[in-house]
Amino acid sequence: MSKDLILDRVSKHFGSLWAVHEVSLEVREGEFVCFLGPSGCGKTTLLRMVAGFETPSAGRILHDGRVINDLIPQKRNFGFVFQSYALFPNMTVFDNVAFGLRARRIARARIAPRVDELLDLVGLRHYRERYPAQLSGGEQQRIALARALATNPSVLLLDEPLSALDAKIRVYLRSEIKRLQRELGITMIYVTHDQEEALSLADRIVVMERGRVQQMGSAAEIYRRPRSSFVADFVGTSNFLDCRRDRAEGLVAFGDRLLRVAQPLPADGEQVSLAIRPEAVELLETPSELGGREPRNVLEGEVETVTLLGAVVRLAVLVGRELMLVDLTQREFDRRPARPGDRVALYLPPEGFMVYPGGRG
Amino acid sequence: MALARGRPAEIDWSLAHRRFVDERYLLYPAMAGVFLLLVVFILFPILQVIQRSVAGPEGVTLANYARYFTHPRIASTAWRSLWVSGLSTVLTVSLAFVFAYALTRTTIPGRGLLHTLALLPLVAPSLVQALALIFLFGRNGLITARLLGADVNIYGWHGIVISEVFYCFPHALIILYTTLSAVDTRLDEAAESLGASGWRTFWTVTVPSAKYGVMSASFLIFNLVITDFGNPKVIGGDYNVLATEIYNQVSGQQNLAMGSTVSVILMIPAVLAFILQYYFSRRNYALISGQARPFLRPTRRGAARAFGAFCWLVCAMILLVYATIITASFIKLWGYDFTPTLRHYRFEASDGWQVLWVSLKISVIGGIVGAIFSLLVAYIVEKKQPPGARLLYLRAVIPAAIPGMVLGLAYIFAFNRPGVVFYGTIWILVIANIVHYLALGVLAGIANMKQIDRSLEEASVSLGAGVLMTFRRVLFPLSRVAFVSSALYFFMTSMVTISAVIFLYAPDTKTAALSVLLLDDAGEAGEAAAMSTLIIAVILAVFLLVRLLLGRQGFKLIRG
Ligand SMILES: Nc1ncnc2c1ncn2[C@@H]1O[C@H](COP(=O)(O)OP(=O)(O)OP(=O)(O)O)[C@@H](O)[C@H]1O
Ligand SMILES: [Mg+2]
Repeated sequence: MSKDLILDRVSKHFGSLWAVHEVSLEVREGEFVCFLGPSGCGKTTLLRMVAGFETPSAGRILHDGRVINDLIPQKRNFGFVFQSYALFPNMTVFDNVAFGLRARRIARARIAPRVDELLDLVGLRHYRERYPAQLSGGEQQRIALARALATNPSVLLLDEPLSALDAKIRVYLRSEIKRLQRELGITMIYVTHDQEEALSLADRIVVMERGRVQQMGSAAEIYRRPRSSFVADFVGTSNFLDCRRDRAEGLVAFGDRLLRVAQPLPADGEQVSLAIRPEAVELLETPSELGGREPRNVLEGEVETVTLLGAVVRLAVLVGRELMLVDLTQREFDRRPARPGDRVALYLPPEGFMVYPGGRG
Repeated sequence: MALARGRPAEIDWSLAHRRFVDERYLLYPAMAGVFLLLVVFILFPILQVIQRSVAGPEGVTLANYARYFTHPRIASTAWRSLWVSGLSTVLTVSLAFVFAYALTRTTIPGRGLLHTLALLPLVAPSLVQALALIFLFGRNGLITARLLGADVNIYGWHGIVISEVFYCFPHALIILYTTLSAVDTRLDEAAESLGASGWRTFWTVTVPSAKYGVMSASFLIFNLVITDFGNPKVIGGDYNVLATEIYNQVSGQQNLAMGSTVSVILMIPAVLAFILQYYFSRRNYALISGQARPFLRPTRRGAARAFGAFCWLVCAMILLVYATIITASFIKLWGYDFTPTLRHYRFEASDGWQVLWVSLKISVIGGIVGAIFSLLVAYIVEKKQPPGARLLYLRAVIPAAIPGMVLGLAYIFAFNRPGVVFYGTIWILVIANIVHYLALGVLAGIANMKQIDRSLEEASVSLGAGVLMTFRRVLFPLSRVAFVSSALYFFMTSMVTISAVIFLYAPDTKTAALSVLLLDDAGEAGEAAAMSTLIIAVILAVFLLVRLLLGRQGFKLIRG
């Protein structure tokens, strides 16, 4: 029997506010799941229910085949890593890591080797006798990880563990956490509002909005096929075009022009919202250089800004009254440089569109 | 990898078979208990006083109040109380403001020492100031009768006011010091950059930005003075204020109904002042928290001299009070025979060592129980926030508004009846003191709990620690400073309080502070001084001991 964690229509309300609404989800043993969503969407609340710090208002949480809604946190043996580290300031690093072992009344002689083993795991054995206040934020969070892992938890829950750290450390610790997860084969649920973190870490991402699950899937699925305009907007970057349905099959009206769309349109509704990733937009050498492309999907505009984002160059192009973002690789950009004020032609491939009903919310 | 899952098979990592105490089974009974205690020891007694004041032969009547206001001598006590309290407040706050300004905004030398000296009056009962004034300026006063040969009468309202200023000075100083320590640097700099002179900056920037602190200090002092019993009793002479009138009615004339009536009348301004003080201190705190300490440029010579002279003068007066009391305790007969003697410490009139021992017992028990109780209340109110926590909080904070005399009287009504076993024992005194001073203990406890992030407790629990281990290993150690501070606070107040216990002591539970009052009343000024000296010495010794045991960071003065 594998130790899956199952959420079955779990809800939580505070007064009249539904912080979490009917979330259902299965986390398989050893899986790395990210809860991703904007601030206030209920990620933390959901995680705290899994940890046992909050009780669901409705629904069931099951672990290892048992309903654990009312099981006290002590008996769940889920590790929890807090955004604020939550190391005990009155104890040394050693005592912090040993805390869970002492709570289990493990023989003194076995505590020290176990603590050292964990401190080695996070590479901080030499800080055994220090107090948390004497460590940097990144070091504190590594100790917090060691502490949470010391009791051999079956699930590790992390609530924005890296958001208080600066960018370099964040990327480094991200890979550390991933490494630990692989080595230990432990189930992890990781809460973040940082899509990059979620995309790089998770086996599966759960995108939440206002207490509800918007989409669940692998990083690639979520990025390539966002199921709603919210997801398309929140995960990665998208250009949105508000269009109307056209009588002709496969065409929509964008302002006074018609665009061809490869995807089937929604069954009903007059309004159609198209989204396209900046890297899917092509920059044409000349408006006439079509080469087999759909002539309807060429838009002309004026470059507003050119921003270097490391490996890619992002142009903001004013098309009519809409600003379109276009990402080019360095190589593409070198081949066809653009400066603010230049007039350019953009090609929006029909198969590059994602199609959503209505105007976006 | 060595950390293969589930490797040490015999360890029960999951804690599945451990029995944990359900937190609710501790929390709810604790809360119910605290509620019950607060109802029994606060609400019920106070309601008794109100009820007695309006009870007549045929049900509810306002006859007592009518009698109060038509009886010219008694009616005057209200106005006298207001006059004395108002005047003392203005004087104390003005002096303390200048003093606090000198400590926080000037660079005069010896600020640390000045600060410590100025806080000294906290460790003496509220009648010591009056006692010292009488030694110095009374009929046989050293200065008036001996040195000047003048026939000045210090008894009366001016005597009360002067002693109250001494008594209340440190309380005002603590608030104003905190207030002036913080400063909105933008304002100060803005004023400077506009070329405002120091004097102008003072009036247009410093004073307005400290306004909530000043208001808060003012209402605190008003409440302290109007509820004080010791000083007016000793030095008031015929000048009766509300607090002493309660005593006259209850102890002198056995008129409990009128005693209750005066109590209710005293409660009105006292409670009002308390509420206003509470309101302004919150405004003040919101305003000053997070603000920077001022950057101090060296104060100009002339100003430094003036501030220095002022501060040292104030401290000299405070020291004079103490020196007088201590000296008086070691000489034969103040005013007549100044030969040194240890005679007063034999306490022939009062069995003083026994009394001191009782006081010590009451204060140590009160200190420990009070600190535990306020920590518990703070924990429940701030960390657990169960339904009703708000009410609990109010219950715990309100008694600070109730004058000690009224609380004492209320306890007579509530507990002087057959079957109440603790009445007449030291326990009634312990309880009265804890209840009387609970508010500050709880407020300090809450401030402490607020600093302990919720996640620490959750971390502990998710690591498998039960409620008790979490409390013992995490919450309590992080509350230690607050706990010790509040224990010392309850200890100190129990050592010096008079008003709450004057109606409650039995012959064998007389406290040291009470004994000072009774000795003075009996004309045993020397022994009164000796007892005062011992009280001060004991408190200072305990402070010193705690400091030695726990080091510099071991505690901080509550209110400071
Ligand atoms: N104890 C509580 N009482 C009342 N409302 C709460 C409580 N905890 C959370 N909420 C509300 O529930 C909603 C979801 O909160 P939650 O902390 O789960 O959001 P989040 O997704 O973690 O956001 P963030 O990224 O800002 O941490 C918010 O609107 C929040 O205000
Ligand atoms: Mg959160």
